[in-house]
Amino acid sequence: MKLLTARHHRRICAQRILTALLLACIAAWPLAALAHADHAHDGGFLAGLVHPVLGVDHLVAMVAVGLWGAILGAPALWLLPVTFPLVMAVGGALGVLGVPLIHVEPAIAVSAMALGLLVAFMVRLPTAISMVLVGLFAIFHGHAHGTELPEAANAFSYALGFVIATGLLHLAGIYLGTLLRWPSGAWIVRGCGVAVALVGVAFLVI
Amino acid sequence: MKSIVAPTLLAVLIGWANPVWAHSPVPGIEGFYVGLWHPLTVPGQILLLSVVGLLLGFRGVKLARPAFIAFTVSLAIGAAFGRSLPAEAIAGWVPLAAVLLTAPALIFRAGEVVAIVVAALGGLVVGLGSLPEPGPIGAVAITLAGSLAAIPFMMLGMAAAAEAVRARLPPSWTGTVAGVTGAWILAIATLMLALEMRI
Repeated sequence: MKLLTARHHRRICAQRILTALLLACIAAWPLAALAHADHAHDGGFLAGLVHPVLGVDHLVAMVAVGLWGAILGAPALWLLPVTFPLVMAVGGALGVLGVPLIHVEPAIAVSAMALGLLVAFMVRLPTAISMVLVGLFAIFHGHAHGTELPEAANAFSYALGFVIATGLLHLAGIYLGTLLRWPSGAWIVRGCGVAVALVGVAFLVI
Repeated sequence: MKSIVAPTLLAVLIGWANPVWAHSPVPGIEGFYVGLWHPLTVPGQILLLSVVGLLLGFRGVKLARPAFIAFTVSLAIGAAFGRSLPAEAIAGWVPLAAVLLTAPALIFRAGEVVAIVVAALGGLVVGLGSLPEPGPIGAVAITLAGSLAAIPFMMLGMAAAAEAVRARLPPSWTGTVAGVTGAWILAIATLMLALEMRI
């Protein structure tokens, strides 16, 4: 019975990891279509969908937000993924309008490192502080996206794709975070946190 | 399964009508169709109608009646004053700014009075953007009639979708879904407004 339960847990862990990967892949899927992109329409839905997944540091940080939300539980579970796109849109608007921010790229690397460590050590901060921290990071992520926005951007389709991709990455993190209910799953989550932190360190050093 | 079949059938039937437009037997009906589809061609209006509809839907049927009355009355007032602002502003930053003002009410599931004010503001702004380009009075009236017929139905459609979600979810999840949806709409409007200002 015990063996069966352990096997059952392993199977569920594998299923959840695969589903989280699938969500991340759906967000990244338009990358494959870039080879045949009509660049006259670079500013559309696909461009918006692709943008958050183009940079690995962006990608892992957004998944880590979902993971950290899962660790903190309700209400942070949904408040963090609400805060991040909202503040990121404000940062994006600053970038689009040409408002300068200093040390944007290092701040993004630091955000990945910090979020990774928070997940790896399962740090539980008060919800308000978590929201402020995530919001602070989101400004830099949004600013970087805003300044890199294609000139021909179709506002509606681009913004729609951008927000949907961000949401899918958070969702991937939250879904991966459901592994926390099993001891072995918690170690997988911690491992993901370490990987995210390492990506952050790599971007900071390189 | 039935719940999927009916909307799919409806969508197919609506799509099927397209080839028939070329041979419309009723003079002026094309203008009515143009008006009917107009709200779907202005992204800011889609977002604003979504905010109003979802807010009312997530709050429940009880609130829908006074809010719907406020919405339709202000829609008519807005349409009457449709030439008071430049056309670019009405189709561009005005509905987006209205979304920035009203979406927090959806995120925080505002009370009844605020929801009615949001419905009135939404109706007013969408109405402003619904007056067709100047032309023969008959053509303008037919196109406007199409828009004014479609807009309340679109808003009520969003409200019905939200009500359906609310009815199926545990009460604690309703606020979460409303908050996430509102935040996404607000984020989209913020980015769009920045892009609008850059252009």
